[in-house]
Order: sequence, then C-alpha cells, then structure tokens
Amino acid sequence: MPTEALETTALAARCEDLTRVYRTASGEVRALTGLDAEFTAGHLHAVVGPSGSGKSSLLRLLAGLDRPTDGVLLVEGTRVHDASSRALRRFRRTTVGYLFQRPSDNFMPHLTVREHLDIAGRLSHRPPRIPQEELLSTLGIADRIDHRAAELSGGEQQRAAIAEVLMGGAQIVVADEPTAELDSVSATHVMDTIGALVELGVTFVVATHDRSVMERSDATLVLEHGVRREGPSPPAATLLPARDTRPAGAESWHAEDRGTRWRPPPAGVQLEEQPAALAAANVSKTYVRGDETIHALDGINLTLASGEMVGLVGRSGSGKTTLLNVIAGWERPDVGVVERIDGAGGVPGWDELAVVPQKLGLLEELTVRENVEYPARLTNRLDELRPAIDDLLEGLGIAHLERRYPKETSLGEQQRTAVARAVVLGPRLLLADEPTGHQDAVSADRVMEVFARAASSGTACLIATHNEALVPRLDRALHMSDGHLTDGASAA
Amino acid sequence: MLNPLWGKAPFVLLRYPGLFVSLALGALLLSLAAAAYPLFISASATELVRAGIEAPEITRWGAGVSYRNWGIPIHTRPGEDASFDRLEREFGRLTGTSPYLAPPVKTILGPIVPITGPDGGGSRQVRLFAGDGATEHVEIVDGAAGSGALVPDLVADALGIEPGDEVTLSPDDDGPGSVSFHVDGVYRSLYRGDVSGFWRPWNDELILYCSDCPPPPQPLIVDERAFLDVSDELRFNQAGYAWQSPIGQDLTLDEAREAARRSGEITGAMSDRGTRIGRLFSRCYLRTFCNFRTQAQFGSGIGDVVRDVEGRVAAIEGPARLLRAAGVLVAFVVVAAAGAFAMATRRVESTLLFARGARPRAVGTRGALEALLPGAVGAALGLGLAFLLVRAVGPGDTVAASANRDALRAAVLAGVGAVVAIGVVSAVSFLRQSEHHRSRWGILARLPWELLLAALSLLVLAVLRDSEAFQPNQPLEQQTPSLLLLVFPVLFLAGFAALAARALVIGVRAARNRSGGLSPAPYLAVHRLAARPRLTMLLIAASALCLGLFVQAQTVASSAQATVDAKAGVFVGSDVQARIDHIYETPTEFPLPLTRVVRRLQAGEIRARLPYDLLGIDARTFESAAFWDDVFASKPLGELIQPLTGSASAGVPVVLANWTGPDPSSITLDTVGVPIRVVGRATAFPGMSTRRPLVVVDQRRLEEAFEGNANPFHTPGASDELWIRGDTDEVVDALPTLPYVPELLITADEVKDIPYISAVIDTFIVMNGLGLAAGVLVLVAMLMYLQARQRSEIVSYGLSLRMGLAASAHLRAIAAEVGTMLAVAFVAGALLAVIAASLTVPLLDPLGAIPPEPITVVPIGVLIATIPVLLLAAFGGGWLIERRARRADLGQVMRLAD
Repeated sequence: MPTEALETTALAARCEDLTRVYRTASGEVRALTGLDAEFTAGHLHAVVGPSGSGKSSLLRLLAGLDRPTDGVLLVEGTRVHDASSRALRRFRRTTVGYLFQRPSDNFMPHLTVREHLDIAGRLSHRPPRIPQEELLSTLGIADRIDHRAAELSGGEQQRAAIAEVLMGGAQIVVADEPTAELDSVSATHVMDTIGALVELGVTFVVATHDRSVMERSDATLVLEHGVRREGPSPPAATLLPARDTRPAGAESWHAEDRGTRWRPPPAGVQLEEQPAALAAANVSKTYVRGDETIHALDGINLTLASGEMVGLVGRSGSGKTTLLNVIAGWERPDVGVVERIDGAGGVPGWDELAVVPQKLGLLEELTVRENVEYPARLTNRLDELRPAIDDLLEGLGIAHLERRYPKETSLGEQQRTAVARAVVLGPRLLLADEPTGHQDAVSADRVMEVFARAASSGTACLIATHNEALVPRLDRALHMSDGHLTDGASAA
Repeated sequence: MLNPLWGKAPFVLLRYPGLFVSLALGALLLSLAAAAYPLFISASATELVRAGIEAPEITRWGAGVSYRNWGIPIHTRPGEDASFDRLEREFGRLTGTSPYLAPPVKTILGPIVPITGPDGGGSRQVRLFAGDGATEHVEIVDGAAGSGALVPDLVADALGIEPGDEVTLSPDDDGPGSVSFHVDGVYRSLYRGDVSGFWRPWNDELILYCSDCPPPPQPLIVDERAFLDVSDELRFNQAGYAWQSPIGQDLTLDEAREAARRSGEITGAMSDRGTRIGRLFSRCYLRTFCNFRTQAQFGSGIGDVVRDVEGRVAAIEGPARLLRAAGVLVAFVVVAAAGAFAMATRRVESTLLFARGARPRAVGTRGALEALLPGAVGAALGLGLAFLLVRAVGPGDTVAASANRDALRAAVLAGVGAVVAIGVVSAVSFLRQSEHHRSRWGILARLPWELLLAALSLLVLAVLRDSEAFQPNQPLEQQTPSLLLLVFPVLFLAGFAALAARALVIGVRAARNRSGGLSPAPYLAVHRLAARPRLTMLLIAASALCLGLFVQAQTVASSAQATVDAKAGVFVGSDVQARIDHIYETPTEFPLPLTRVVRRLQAGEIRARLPYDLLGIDARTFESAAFWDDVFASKPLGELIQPLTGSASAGVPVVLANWTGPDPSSITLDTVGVPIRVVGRATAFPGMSTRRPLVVVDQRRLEEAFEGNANPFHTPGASDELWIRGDTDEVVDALPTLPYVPELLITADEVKDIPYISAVIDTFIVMNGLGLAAGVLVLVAMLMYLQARQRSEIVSYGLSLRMGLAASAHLRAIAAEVGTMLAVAFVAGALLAVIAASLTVPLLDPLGAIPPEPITVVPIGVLIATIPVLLLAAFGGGWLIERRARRADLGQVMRLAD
C-alpha cells in the first residue's frame, strides 16, 4: 500500500512480492526483494530512497523495459511479469511512457519535436489522450515544436519528452529523476507541467531525490536496499545541516557517530591561515555551438582560499562547467588569467587539483575500490593511504560495493566513487561538478561531509551545483547566470 | 505523410562519417568478394584459352580451321573453273561465317625434286613450296626474302649455296628439263619442328619423326606465280593444297566455345559427302588410290582447347567458389560488425526506440534504409575494385561479357545483401537490448561452443582420410580437390583457437587478482583484458583464426608446390630430360649444365624377389645438372655422390635410395652377382620413377666391375638420357646445338602441369591472401574498437593523466593489451596452422607412384617476418590511439556533459 492515503482507489499499477536479481561479473545483485506496492491512477507517485535502493530497477519494470525475476506486476491491466516480448512491446508502445534521466536521451538528434510526436502517434496507432494542441499548450512548448532537441534547453527537452510519450497514448508515465539534471527553475516548470497533466488524469511514477518533487507527489514509496521501507520519507537534501566549521580532527557534525573516519592527508596549509588557492581575473570564454555563439564566461573574477568551500550555483548552461574547465586547465580562457596557487608550474597533479566531473570518468575495467586506489597507485602512495581509503569507502557508503565494477552500481554510487577518488590524495584544490546530482539526502550528506573534511584539512573546494539546498553547507555561494558571477563574487 | 523515421533515414549516416565509411567498407568487401569471382574465373579461363591456343602443339593456326588435299590439279583447260579456285572460294565463304577466324591462307606443296647448287657438284632433295606469307614463318639465317627463292640451310650447307647464287631444279635425268632460281636467302630448316603452326598441314611431309632417320626434303620457298610457272615447266600436274583460317583474336572461354561450335559446323559441312560442298572438299583428287596421307584432311583444334580449358576451369571453380563463399562470409561478418558497431555507437537512439515499444522489424527497416546510401556506394566501389584487381593482379585482363554481367549482378546483390544484413543486425542488436534476451544470450555465450567446432574438424579430418582428397569429376575426366580440404582448417583453427583464447582469458582473470604489484602499464592491460572476457576471447580467436589460415594456407601451398617440384624433379631427373640412343656421345660442349645417365628399371634384385631400379650416373657432372632437394638425404648431393667414384675393389660403391633395410653387400644385375659397398642413402633420388629401391652407381665404376661381361648399360631395357638444367624454353632453344636429335623430350614443367594440383596450390595461395586480408580486417577492427573505447573513456584518460599516469605508460598499456592478444593469437594460430597443415599435406599426394612422400614446408621466414609486423601493429596502433586521446578536446567533452 502507498504510504499516504489517496482519494481514488483505481489502480494504475500493482506489484506483489516483486523481486529482481541481476547476475554480474562480480556476483548476484538483488535490486528488489519481495516488493509489494500499488500505484493509483491519475496521481503523482514518488519513488524515493538512497542510491542503489532499487528505484531505477522498479521503474524499468513498471515501464516494461525489464522483467521481474519473481513476483507479480500488473500495469494498466497488463501482466508484465509474464507477458511475451511482443506483448511487452505493445505495452511500451501504447500504455506506458518512460522518460530518461538525461533529457536529451529522449530524442533522436536528427529529428524535430514535431517529427518525434508524429512517430509516437504512428507507433501506438492510438489517438492521444490529450489533443496535441492542448498538450503542447499545457507543456508550454508549442513554439519549439519545429526544433531539434539540441536546440532546446534541458527543461524544454524534458517537457517535449513528456509530450512525446503522451502523444503515443501513454496512460502512465514513468520518469527516472526527471529533474536531476535541471536547474531549479526548469525543474519547477517541469513539475508544474506534471502537476497539470495529473490533473488531466495522467498517472506519473517518478523516482527522485528532489524534495520539491516529493512534496508535490500524491504518494511516496520509500525503498532501501531493494525493500520497501515503511514510515516517513527520508530526509531530503534541503534538510542537510549547515557546514561544520570546526577545525580538522573535531567531531563530525553528523548526529551519527561512524567511528574511525577518513581524514584527508595534510595539504600543508592550515585552515586558519587561509592563503589564496585560486585566483581568476577577468576571465571570459566564448565558443561556437552550431550556428550559435555562446558567451559562456564573461569577465569572471574569483578568489578561493585554502580550506574554503565555495559553491557555484546556477541554472544549466549558466557557465559553471566551463568555469571549472578553465580552472582545471582543460579550456583556455579567451581573456583573463587563472592562477592556481599550487606551488608548481605546468599541469597540476592530482594532489594539487582534483576533479569530480559530471561525466565521472571512472575506469570501467577497475572495481570501485581500484578506482579509488588508482591515484594512490599511480603516485606510489597506495600502501600509505590504504587505511584512509578503507575509511573513505566506508564513509561514503560504498565499502560493500568495493569489488563491483562501476557499471554494476547505481549512478549515485558511481558518483560517490568519483568523489572518493578526488579527495584520496588530499588535493590543494578540488573542483566538483554537480557532485550530489544523483544522491539521495543521506548520500548527499556523506558527500558534503567528505568535502567538509577535505576543506578542514586545507583543500579549497569549488562545487558547481544547481541545488540551492546545498548553499547552507558552503562557506560561500556564488551565483552564476549567463556567464556572470553575482552576489558579490567579484569581491570575494 | 511519410513516417519521418523512414523518410530521413537514408541520409542520417551522413551525420556520422565514421559509420558511413564502416558500412560502405563492409558493402565494398561484400561486393568485391562476390563480383571478383566471375571476373577471376573468366579471366583465368581466357588466359587458359590463350595458353591453350598458343601451345606449340595447337597454335593459332591449329586452333582455326584447316583443310588440305593432295593431288589437286594445278593446270586447267581454258574456260574450266579450277578445282583449287573453287575450293578456295568455298573455304573462304565457309570460314567467313565465323567471326573468330582470320581470312584464309593458302599453301601449296609440290613433289620432291632434286636441287643442285651453283657449282653443280652434287644434289639434294627439296619440295617446291608457295604460300601466302610463308617467308614470315621461317627464320632467315642468311639473305632476305625477295622475289627469288628461299633455300633451307640443310640444302644450302650441303651444296654451298649462298644468297645471290643460282640453283637448279632437275626432276630426273629423262625429265622435261630444269629450272633455275635466283637465291634470295637461306632459312633454318623446318624438320626439327614448327613453332609458329603455319606449317601444320605439312608436318607429315616436313618434320623429322625418328632420331636416326634422315631429315625429310625441305621446302624451296617461291611465290605462287613462280610455283605455277615451274610446275608448268617441269610438268607437275598435281600438288598438295592447304587452306588455313587461324583464330584471329584473343578469345574468352565463351567465345572459344562459340568458335568451336562454328568450326565444327564448317568442318562438318566440308566433310558431309551428302552435299555438293562436302563432295567438293572430301573428294580424293589423285588419279591413283588415296591413302591416309593423301586423302582430304579437315581439322580444327579449338574444340580440344575448349575441352582442356573446361577441365582446368572445373578444377579451380570448386575451390574458387568456396573461396568466394569464404570471402562473402568474411565480408558479411565485417558488414555485421559494422552494423553492430553502428547500433552500439547510437545506443541512445536504439534504447529510446526500445522504450517507445518499436518493433525489431521497424528498427531493422530503419537500419536497412540508413544503409542504402553507404551500401550502394560500397557495392559500386567494390565492383570497380574487383575489375581493377582482376586487371592488375589477376591471371589476365580479358573477361567475357557474360562475366561482366555476372559481376554487375553480384555487386547489386552484394549491395542489397549488405543492406539486408544491416537491417537484420540492427533488429537483432535491438532485440538483444532486452534484459530478457540478454540473459538468454548470456547463457549461450558461456557455453564452450568451440568444442563443437573442434570436434567437427576432427570428424571432417576422419572423413578426408577415409575418402580421397581429390574427387573424380566424371563428365570432365578430371580430378577436383575436395571442399573438405578447406573446411577442415577453418573448423580446426576456429575451434582450437577459441579454446586457446578461453584459456588465456581464464589466465588473465587469475592474473588480475595478483596484479597489485604491477606497474601502471601492465596493471591497466591486465585489467582491461580481464574486464571484457568475451570480447577478449572473440578478438583473440578471430585473430588466431585469420593468422592461422594465413600460415596454414601458406604451408599447404608451399608444401604442395615443393612436393610437386620434388616429384617432377625426381621423375625427370632435372628440368629437361632428353632420351638419346646409346650410340651417341655425350656432348662435350653445351650452353647449359648437362649430365648423362643410364636408367634401368627392374635391373635385378637387391634381395630375393625384391627388384630394384638402377641409375648409372656420371659423378663428375651429375651434381651440376641433376635436381636436388635437401630433404632427400642428410648430406648435400655433392658429398653424397662423391664416394661413388671410389675404388670398386671392395665392392662397387653405391648410393641406395628408398631403402630402409640393412646395407646389402651385393646385388644381382642381369643375373650376375655384384658385390657392392653402400656409401650413402637417400629417401629419394633424381631418376626415381617408381617406388622401388634405386641403386645409384657411377657408370664407369660399374662398367669396370663388369669388364669381361656384357655392358649392363647397353641392354634393350636401358634408357640413355641427357639431363639438362635450366629454363625449359632456354633448354629447347639450345637443343639444336646437339649433334643429334633426341628421341624424346620430357620436361619437369610438363610433369608439374596437373590441373587439380595447380588448383589446390592456387586455392591455398588465394586462401593465404584471404587469411591475410581477414587478419588485417580483424586488426583494424581491434584498433577501431580500442579507438572507440578510448573515445568513450576520454574523461577517465584525461583524469588519469592528472593522477600521474604517464602518456608513455598509457601507450605501453595499449600496446601490451593489443600485443598480448596478438601474441597469443599468433602463437596459437601458427601452432595450430602447422598442425592442421601437417595433417592435410600427406593427403595431397598428386603423383603417388613417384617418390618422395609429400613434403611439409613450414614457412619459417613468413612466421619470423610476421612478428615485427605484429609488434608494429601493437605499438603503432597504441601510438595512434594514444595520440588521438591526447589531442581530444577534454573541455568540450566536459562541457557537453553539462
């Protein structure tokens, strides 16, 4: 039963004793175990839980993309658990719509939105539940219909994707973290759209870590380790406490004592001294994308002190990633100077500048532990850092995954692996691009704690995020918009 | 309105140049493999037809239509239509109906008449001769053709005739008189044989057929007017007339068949006594009785050429067809790989279609539509390349129109096939994205399917051993190689190479767990190999299969060639064998290495009821002229035969060949016991024509031992032979310098000319190339895969460099990864190939009655040469991939992730 009462009892989907086990190179992974749940028609259902809890697996089952290992799954009258391949295809074509986490993944790059809608209609051979004009008007993308996906913003892409599945006649829409890669404005717009469609009778099942989504949902299903957890929803990112600014070695701010904790190797700079770790002056960067010239950075001035945790907060496309790239040395600024106070010229080493990119860059052939060990191995410090790595894996909640390959873990777990890898050598400067984008509240908490500990040992952390909820955990938040820094950033 | 999924599909791949090129390349290979076959077969057949027509025993003249008749009246009464005019008219009319025949040529041969020189001191016999263009078909050794006569050197030398002299023909003492000719030149006499074929109608009259016969009278060549005037003067009433229409152009096999059909019709019309034309040609014009030499003779050799070529083509068609199938299969694999690569590259799109419930059929159709353009481009390029290749490196450059049409049809089918294959692969790849299907396939992938292939290969080998490697082709009275000869190595190599690859993968996975202490390059290489076991196994197995096929085909082709060479060399004794009468002396001077031997079959017994053959050699000259292969004995030929000239006091020194028993102390020869001393042994020896033991002696030593008895080499069963070493044409050209004419010539080239063995050798040479080409493709695919993987790992690579990974270590890691796969593939492939070849070669014994046993030649040089190539591929490929990785715009990649 859903955790919250619903006004209607018409069921869109129901699962009984649902189990899904994956066989991987490193052994069996139980994604779902004996799950019972019901999803009422015409409502917004949120599926929440920590990374690796089985949310995506449940959604894939609901969308007919996968089959359960055991149990019963009924969706809009279709017995998904024992449907033939042909029946499942028809089910996906006519009954359910699946929205991918990355908005651009919902489109073929050479087709326009109109053509996608056309194809969706042809595939289902069914009239849409909502007429096209009304749907496009509701979604607010009527004027973008003749554009390709690459010409739309992330929010527009997500709304166009919703239009696409509804034009196919979908009665239930399954979305995997539809707002995870969107800034708050776009996310709000998407959620408004979903709300409007729910009003029109469409059922939405959404996996999310986003508290705003949880708050707007009619029902919430909480998963943990593939099992339904009864009781209240877990804490969301906004519930994270403010940053603990106590010096290194002091107790964690986290209520729960986890025993021996990872401590970054000393960076050689005490927090109290706070020398500058990074200085960027008048940095501008322009690049061309198709026919369009993008002014990604425009006169950026930024200073970062050792041990300081600074957030770069802004919408998608505001220039955050470009700024991180310029600071990392992967892109040259057109104008301006970036100086890293890392005490050495040339390309900085991992102990000087470490990165958590959005594309995580984990080595697929190495296990989670081996990925975290990799920088230490390459710098011949593995024996010295092995205890710290153990603590780090434990602290980030991925110790039990240490023998798995990245592809055998969830996106959130992979992201935490990348975080561990970034801090393992105790860098002077750490750049992180949306490091909590795929984290539930508890995991985001763990990630931020690792950053805080690194900062307390002297690492300057620059964290790009569109999640305003992280701001209280930071020393400073610099807002970024259209390539400009605001909120006094220049004066920093 | 057209579904946008279909409507835009044909041009979508223009957005992905790499995929477009991959698919076009696959279609190109498919088209090439399919279209090259008819072109190759036709070019081979054309070349065989050309060679058949140009063979000395056929020639263009013999392949055309010829007619000759004796006793045709030379003179006619006024107003009478001369017989030869009517014959000439009708022959021209008949042969004019065939577009393959050149205009007829007439020759006239008169009776034998005595000729005297300018000093009148003696006479010789000649035949008066006239013929269209006859002077172009003799070798003028002195003077030049003109309005006078050409005299044969046989006569000119005997009578001291030189250009400018006057010669006189005087039929007999009581004849009507004599006629004098001005001599314009002297030509080389024709009795040794006609090379051009022009003289074919008169071979019986002009060519020497026995070595101890006097040369027949040679022609005194004059023009036709002079011939008629002289005939009138000397009262010759009749002469032999011949008309020939030679083949006028190079012919394809189709054209040769048609030419043979038309020639058959023409000769049929000439020989049909039921018609006026037939009676005209078939009539015996002699007033006395007609015999086989003087009756009408019709002929056309083109039918024989066609039959011979059809037999030879049949021998190569089977293997070539199988090779086409193999080529097409390889090309389909490339197409399928390109299709799978395309699907993998655009996985996001296929995942989207899967989520939207698209049918595999629809996805397949979309894939096929997308492949239309690259498929058409590739097929057209493949057809063009097939034409170019056959023209540039094929057996000839003339192909039949029907072959051109077949090639075009094959290219079109290949294009369609490529498009359909892409469609099927797209649909299958799409289906495999379902977890349900993936798990099912996963179980299949874990099965050791290679055991099935290995077992099948052993079964095929057993069948091959029980049956024959060469199957009789009854209609063509030819033998053709069994297709199982090609099937066996493919199955054997694929099965056991995959087993070896599986073993390596297991080893690598074990090594992975103990790799902690390794430096970064081997650490990365081991982990990469272990992380994708199925792919690693597939790449190693495919590489080993290709390398193995390359080595196996090379081994079989070399072995078959070496075996045939050895057997031909052993049978003939050298490159050319000339049989002569024992009364002739061995020439003291000859431009090429020459030795004389005497061979006696079943000369006596080496043991009770165990006959042997005897070979008497001249140990001083034998080594320089005889054929030898070091596999025949443990020491070089010179060392082996040198003791034969030693003293015979303790027994005649002999070398025993093909004898495994203990050394005999004596043998019987013509019932006489001869003590012998064995000074050497060999498994085979030049001059062996049977499987019997061969006793080799120095001829003089044996004759000395036989002093007082009949010379054992001067018996009716002895065969005196000159063995000459050198290019066959050079030897034939040099033979006229001998003071006598050999009775019989046998060349090693003739013995080697066995169509089905040539077919086997050619087949394995082509297979060798195919293996090499497939190996290159696999290598390219391996590097493309690594390149694609590197592109997908560009972020992790960029981060790794920051973490402390040196670019050189990264290069070494890639090289170690590729190198390990190639090294295992090379070792496994080469080893298995040699095993497969050693199992196959003994089955390829083309001349079983002639020693030696089939020889296995392992291409050590090729194997050694392959190692640096593989090293270069590993490091070169690694360097390319590393360089592209270093040049990648990491900032853009990061930004696109935003």
